Formats: sequence, C-alpha cells, structure tokens
Amino acid sequence: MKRGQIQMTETIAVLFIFFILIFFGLIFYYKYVDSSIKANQDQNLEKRAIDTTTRVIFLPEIQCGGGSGGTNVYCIDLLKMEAFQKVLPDAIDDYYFNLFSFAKITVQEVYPDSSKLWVVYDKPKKDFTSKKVTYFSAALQDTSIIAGSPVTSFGYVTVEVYS
Amino acid sequence: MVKNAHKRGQLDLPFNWIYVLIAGAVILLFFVGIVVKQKESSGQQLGTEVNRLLESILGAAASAESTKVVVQTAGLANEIIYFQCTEGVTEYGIQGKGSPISDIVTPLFAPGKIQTKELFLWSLPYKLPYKITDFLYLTAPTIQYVVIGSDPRGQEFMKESKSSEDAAFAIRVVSVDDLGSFSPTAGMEMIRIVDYTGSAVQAGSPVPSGLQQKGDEEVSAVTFGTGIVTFFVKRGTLWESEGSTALFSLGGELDAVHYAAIFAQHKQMFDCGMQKALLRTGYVSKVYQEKGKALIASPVSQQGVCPVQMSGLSGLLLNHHTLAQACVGLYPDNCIQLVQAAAELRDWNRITWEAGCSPLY
Amino acid sequence: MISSDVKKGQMEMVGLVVIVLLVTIAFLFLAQFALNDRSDTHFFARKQLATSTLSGILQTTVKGCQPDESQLLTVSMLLQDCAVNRGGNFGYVCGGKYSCDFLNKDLLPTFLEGSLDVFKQHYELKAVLVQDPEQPLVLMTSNGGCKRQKNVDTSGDFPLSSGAGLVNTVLLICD
Repeated sequence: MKRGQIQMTETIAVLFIFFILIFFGLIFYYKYVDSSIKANQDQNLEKRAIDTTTRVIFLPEIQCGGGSGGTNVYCIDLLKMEAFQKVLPDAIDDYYFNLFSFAKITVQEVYPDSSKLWVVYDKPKKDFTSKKVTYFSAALQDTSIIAGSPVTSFGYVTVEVYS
Repeated sequence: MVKNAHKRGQLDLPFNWIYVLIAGAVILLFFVGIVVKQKESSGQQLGTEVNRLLESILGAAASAESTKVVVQTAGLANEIIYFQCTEGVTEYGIQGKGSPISDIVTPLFAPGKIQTKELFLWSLPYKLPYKITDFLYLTAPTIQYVVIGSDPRGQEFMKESKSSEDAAFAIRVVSVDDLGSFSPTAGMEMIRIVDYTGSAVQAGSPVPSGLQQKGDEEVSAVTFGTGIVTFFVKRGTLWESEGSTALFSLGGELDAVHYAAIFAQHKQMFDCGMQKALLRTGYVSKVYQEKGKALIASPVSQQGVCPVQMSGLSGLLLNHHTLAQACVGLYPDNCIQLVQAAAELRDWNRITWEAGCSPLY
Repeated sequence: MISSDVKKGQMEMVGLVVIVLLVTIAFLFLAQFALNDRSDTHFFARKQLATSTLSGILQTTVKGCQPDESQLLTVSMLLQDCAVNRGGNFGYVCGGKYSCDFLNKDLLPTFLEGSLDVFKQHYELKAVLVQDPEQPLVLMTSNGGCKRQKNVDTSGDFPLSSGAGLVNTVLLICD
C-alpha cells in the first residue's frame, strides 16, 4: 500500500509540474502575442505618419504653384494655406478626415518671424494610446507683397498622428 | 481467485488500448483542428497585410505627381488583385483574402482584375486649370495596348509608355493601321484597343478574329472622338458599347483625363474616378476663391494695371466654384460648363502674369 | 533497496526541475528576439527632412541687403555671391556682414537652430566650390557633424553655378 501511495504521489507530482509548464507556456505565448500586436500597431502608426506627411507635402490646397498650374515640392503658398484654414472646418468631417484621420498639422515659421504659427488641421483623438510626430521643412511663399517675386520665409511642418 | 485475476487481466489490457487509441485520436484531432484554423487565419492575415502594403504603395505613388514606378509582385503571381469603383469609393485587394482597402480620395484607373508578377504605377496631375489632385494609373506587363490612328495623343502615349529613369517600366503599347489583321503578342493576358479614328471599333461590329479566342473580360476598347470618349467591351464575337462620356479636361500635353480613359477598363471605373476628382475640385476651388479675395485686397494688386486686371477675378472664381459644386451634384450633365470656366480662369491667369501682376496660381 | 528507490525519486525530481529551468530560459530568449529592429520608415522620414530643409533654406529670401535694400535675395544668390567674393571685400552686405559671414554666422544658424536643433537631430551642412572641396564656403554642424556616424541620411546634391565655378551644397542628418 505504501508503494502504491508513493507511486500515486509521484504521478500527481508529475502532472502538477506538467500543468505548471503548460501554464508558463501559455503566459509566455500570451506575452509574445501581446508584444507582437503592440509592435504591429506601432509599425502601422509609423506607416500612417509617413503616409499623412507625404499627403501634406503634396496637398494641392496648400502647395505652391510653379506657374502654369505646375507645383513646387516642399513649398507652401501662404495665401492658400490661410484660405484652406478658412475652408477646412466645414469640410473636415465630409472629406479631409478621409485624408488625414486623427492628426494635427501645424506650420511654424522659423525665419524671419518665429512667432508665426498656423494650425492647419486639428482633429484630436480622445483617449489616444500613442502618437507619432514627423517633421519636414518648407519654404513659405507669399505672392501678395511683390508682384512677380514671391517673398519666401523658412519654416517647418509638424505632423502628429494619433492612434 | 486466480481465475478472477486472469479474467480481469484479459479485460484490462484491451480496455487500456482502446482508451489510448480514443484519447490519442481526440488529442490528434484537436491539434489538427488548431493547425487548420491557424493556417486559414494566417492566410487571411497575410492577405490583409499585403492589402495594407498595396495601400501604402499606391498612396505614395498617387501623392508624388508624374512618377512612374514598378512594383514587384512575384509573391502574388498566383493571386488576383481586383479593383472596383462604385458610388465614389474605390475598393481593391487580393481576391478572396484579407480585408480589402476602400479609398474615397484617390482617383484610381485600372483593369478590373490583374494577375501579374509586376505592376506599373503612373501618376499625373489633373489640372482644371490649377492642380486639383493626382490621378493614379495601374497596369501590368501582361496587358497590351493597341493604338489605332495617327493622333498626336497616341504618339505621346507610345513615348510616355517608357520611363527614362527605370528601364523596367515599359507599358506594352503597339501601333497598328489595321485592327482586322491584329493578333495579340504571346503572353498577353489582356488587350486594350485605343482607337483615335472613331471607326475601328463600333457597337455591334465584329471583334477582330485574332481576339475572338480571348475571354470577354480580357478584351476591351476605348474610342476617342472630339471631346468625347466611348467605352466598349467584348461580348462573344461583337463589340458592345458601355456608353460615352465627355472628357472634362483642358486637353494639352499629358492630359490626365485622356490617360484615365485608356487605363480604366470599364466606363464605371472612369466615371467613378472622375467623380472623385470633381468632388475634390469643389474643395480646391473654394480655397482658391478665398485666396483670390486675399490677393485682390493685397498691396501688390493695387499697383499699375493690376486693379483693372484683378477686378474680374472674383467673378471668375465664384463661377468656377459654383459650377464645380453643380457638377458634383449632377455628373456628368452639369460638368461641361465647368471646363469652360476653367479655360477662362486659365486665360485670366496668363494675361495677369504677362501684365506683371501676381497670378492666382 | 529502499535507499536506491529514494535516490531514484530524488533524481527524477532533479530532472523535472532541470526541464522547467531549460524551458524558462528558452522562453526568455524568445522574448528577447521579439524586440523589433529600427524600422525603414524612420530613415525615410529623416531623408525627407534633410531634402526639405535644404530645399527650403535655398529658396528663402532675404531683404534689406546692400547695395539695393529693396531687392529680394535668395539664400542661393547669397551662396553664389559668397563663392565669388570669398575674401569678403565686396559683394552683398546683409546685417553689416558680407555674404559668407552673414551665411555662416547669422542666417544659417538661425535656420538650423530653429528647425533641426528643435527636432534634436545631428547634422552637417556643407557648401563647397567643386574645384576646391577642402575649403568649404559654408560648414554648419551639430556635435561634431556626421563624419564617423553609422546611419547618415543625405539631402542629395544641390548644385549652383556661380562666377567662381560650380557650388555644391549637401545636408547630412545622422545618429
């Protein structure tokens, strides 16, 4: 009887260890999947940040005209940008949200007047879990001061996307 | 007692084996079930990831105007990538796998289905008269474009079918004088006839004998008239018209609408893409309207002959914006006058520039 | 016999413990490899930043320079003037300085401190006469520049023709 009891105890101990191993395995698998999902989300957010930034760079609503309806990359037409600021509030939900989603786009002048800041697009997300910020510099062109010669300032654009 | 022990032993042994077999089978089935489900879900996940990658690539190509890009899709050579556009929403993805992508912004013109190792992406700006958006064209080396007629637009298409920066970008375009004697090149899965004569393809006329072997979905045609384009599909051995529509553009070199008609396999995709572009026109024209107001009030517009020149601007901009909105409301009937308004704005801009005043764009 | 049984049992227990330890270590390794590498999108954004910054700088206009204060001069024009009038004895005078000094001491530090320094980027902005690359016309760096850095993104070449020859400007952003 004692031998039987020992064997039973041994079997129970083995099963106990087995289930502990399964438990650890499940915990580690869960942690791995969780970190994999978070890494995926982070990667998607970064991709979205780049996509949104590319759209801003080439946005016809603010991009400089290069003459004859052509364009100039990394150049923002200040008059158009200010006009876009006026047009945007009525058009965000219908249209521009499909372009930019939850994001904030600001233009900061560096030279000559660093106090000038324009908030071009602002659609925050309540309770966002993460945020990605990208920057690019731009020439800020004003064609309303001197005919035929645009006055060009230097500034940068901040694109923040939320998830 | 010994006899009983023997009998119990005889029962115990087979009973143990049956138990082991059943338990083993259940455990095996359980794991096989998990593997099959994982395989299915992996396939779907991969499909979704590929679709998202396609979305990024198409988005980047569409944003950067006048780009010609070759995308290697050898890993998708056995999959069918589909494109459809209904009610202003383009949907594309891998057929039967993953979640498709929906896009209401980028006007995309492509065949309905592509199965290929390489994709050619080409973008051109759509101007009316200033840049509204970029059109994105999608095609593959397995699609052959047959140009009929000596129209300069056809010559331009043949020239633009190659890229000076990437030798791999080479849209298969041929020019023929007589469609009746045409036979497709080996390896071409789809044929697109581009007729500038207006007579080579007509509704009810027979499809060339060299193309009759091909499936209906593999052969299509587009005919350019004066400011009008007509789409045709193959139905058995005859051409069937899908309808005609006006080309809402100012023409000229690298006319985005002209190429949209070439690359969109069906009229529905062309119309849907144009509707997206015209919707955007409404918003961009509003921005220019506000810019116009600021320009008129600016110091530079008060000098010399500029006040006189600027006096006509607000009327032109209001007209353009109103017509853009009307066009969106009732496409295509209300859109002809929009093109006229765009031409007037273009002329105003050129005259203003020549007069030494600040142009609108 | 009993003692050998006890020893056998103890051995088995030790064996089980060893298995648990091995499996735990294996999972720890797995967790380490699950950490991501730096993504390609980071480098794409930085290259874009380099190109856009240099493009923006070169297009920027400056007013109030001698001899004609009403004339708008671009940074490109000031660079061209710096290439021709390197000695700093004639040419454009902005803010009391000739073009080379004005670029190196006033204008470019303002641009870069207001942008790349704000984004905490390490950079090296260099403009050289192609026939005399050892003596740069303009050299702006942060924390020693990008010479020994591993990951360097470039704006690409921005060539300008001047009376003294071809001027090439490049902006590098690095780790």
